[in-house]
Amino acid sequence: MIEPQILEHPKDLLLRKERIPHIWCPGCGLGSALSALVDALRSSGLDLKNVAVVSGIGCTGRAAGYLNLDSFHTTHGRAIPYATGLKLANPDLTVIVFSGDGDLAAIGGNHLIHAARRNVDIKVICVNNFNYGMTGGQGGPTTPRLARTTTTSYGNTEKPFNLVHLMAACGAPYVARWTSAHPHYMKIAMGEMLKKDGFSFLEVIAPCPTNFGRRNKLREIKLLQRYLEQAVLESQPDIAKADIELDSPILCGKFVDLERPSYLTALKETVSAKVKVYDFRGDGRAPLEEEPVKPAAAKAPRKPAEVPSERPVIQRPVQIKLAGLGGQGIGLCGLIIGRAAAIFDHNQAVYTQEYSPEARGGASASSIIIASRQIHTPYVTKPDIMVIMAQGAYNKYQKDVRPGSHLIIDKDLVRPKDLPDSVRIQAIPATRLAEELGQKVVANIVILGFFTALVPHISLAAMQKALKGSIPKGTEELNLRAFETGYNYGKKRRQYRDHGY
Amino acid sequence: MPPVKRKLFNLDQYQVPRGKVQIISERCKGCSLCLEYCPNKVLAWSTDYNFKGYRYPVLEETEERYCISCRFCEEVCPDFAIYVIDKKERG
Repeated sequence: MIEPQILEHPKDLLLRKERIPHIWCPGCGLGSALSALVDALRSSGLDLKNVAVVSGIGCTGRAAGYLNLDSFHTTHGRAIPYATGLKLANPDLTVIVFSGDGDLAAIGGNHLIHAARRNVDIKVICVNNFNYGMTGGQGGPTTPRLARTTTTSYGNTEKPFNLVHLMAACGAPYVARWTSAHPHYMKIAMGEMLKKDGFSFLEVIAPCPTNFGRRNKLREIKLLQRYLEQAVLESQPDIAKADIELDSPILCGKFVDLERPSYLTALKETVSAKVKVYDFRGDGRAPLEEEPVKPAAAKAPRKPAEVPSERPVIQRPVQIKLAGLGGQGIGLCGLIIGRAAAIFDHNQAVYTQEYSPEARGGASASSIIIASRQIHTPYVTKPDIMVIMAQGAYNKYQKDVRPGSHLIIDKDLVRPKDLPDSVRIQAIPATRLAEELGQKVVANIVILGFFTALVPHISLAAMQKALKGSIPKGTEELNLRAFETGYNYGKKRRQYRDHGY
Repeated sequence: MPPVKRKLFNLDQYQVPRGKVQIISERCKGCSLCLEYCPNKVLAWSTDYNFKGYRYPVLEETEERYCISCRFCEEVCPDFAIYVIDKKERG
């Protein structure tokens, strides 16, 4: 852990600094694309007061919120209609649409083709990551054939859109494609787009390592390296050969660059002399609809269960809260604890999760309540045991740590401060131990082992059974080793068990 | 760097530019793009973790491997976490 430095990045001028670091995953191409746009805007010489950025929904949609320009975060798929409106209402604006393939080509596909046909003077940057990244990696209209996604687990059978060909066919006067591994070319293309009068379209092929990469066995930086290898750079590429297949080369370059009068120019030439403009008067207000009351869920009849001999009896419900950053496996960890308590220890357990929109890196938490009798509230208000795996999560959930509770932390990643004196802290270097075992991702299992060794409410046998049933096939050996490492580390501090609650 | 066999006859008139890499470690997410792109391999992983739990790049310059101010890292960094300032030639 180091003290925050005061360094001023040259691109900070165009960013809303309080929102950085952004939510995009490590290895994602969106950051590179945004960085190139910032560079292009800086070197374009445009008056930045007359630049507006519009984006739709999805990971890419967040870009509008990160740029310190007039920006619009619109409804799903409707970025282009909003941008068209902006441009028509104020022709002095330079309007940039920065959105993803799911937003522009799928739900907003019709708007895209018609904006290109009309030749509205907007600059569209479509970041194509071949799937719906934010919602969990479903297949979309750009998913290449045979690619695996959440909804095409045997490989996609549909032919994807060839976006550059589509745009050229619709009459767009500027069409280019680059991958996010070519930041310099991307920057040049964006600079050309800013100067162009008319609809200009740039497709940026960006890796989605968290969803698309993971399901196609190209994790982290490997996906970007693959794109770099696959990319073919040509000065005059043939647009008919620009189809994207999973293994075929990705043709990059400037496909179309021609002069065609933009929508506003054509409008002025032909109709402006004949049209009378009326003021719009809209004062109609629709009454708000009342929200329907949700019916209470029916109670399931309770089955009498067989009680195993080593089952820990828990008189008062024990509240457990696990917190960390998305991707650390906090959710899985909570699920295993809940399963162990409910299925294998024949106690009762309730499990809830909370998380932020980012797929990696946002503070997330899972809460478990376990008891021997029925639990009447699912919500953890006063946790007896807290497990915190990262400083970001500590800052968010520190307010929940109450006096007299137990706090389990990752020694290297969390620096606890401002805590009541009666909090008992147990620390384990889980991430370091996991790295020694070979994979950083099993840090959560290490901490789970540590937790089992220290906490008397769940039996070891139950936890092991639950662990075996909850992890993906082929990783059992590594996970069990990680569990053992954590358990042995925790056994040394066994006296903690005798405290009782 | 491999030993140079042939030499430009007016090489002494040129100077290799020098830069100074600035790293905002709190913004880094450890994607390793800068390490991959750096042509002179002047960056290495830190032994420490940052606020988000990621290792971040640190500058490791030697006599042969120094920053030549190509600004590739600045261009490629998706997190606005690294930039280069030009350094005056030491002589």
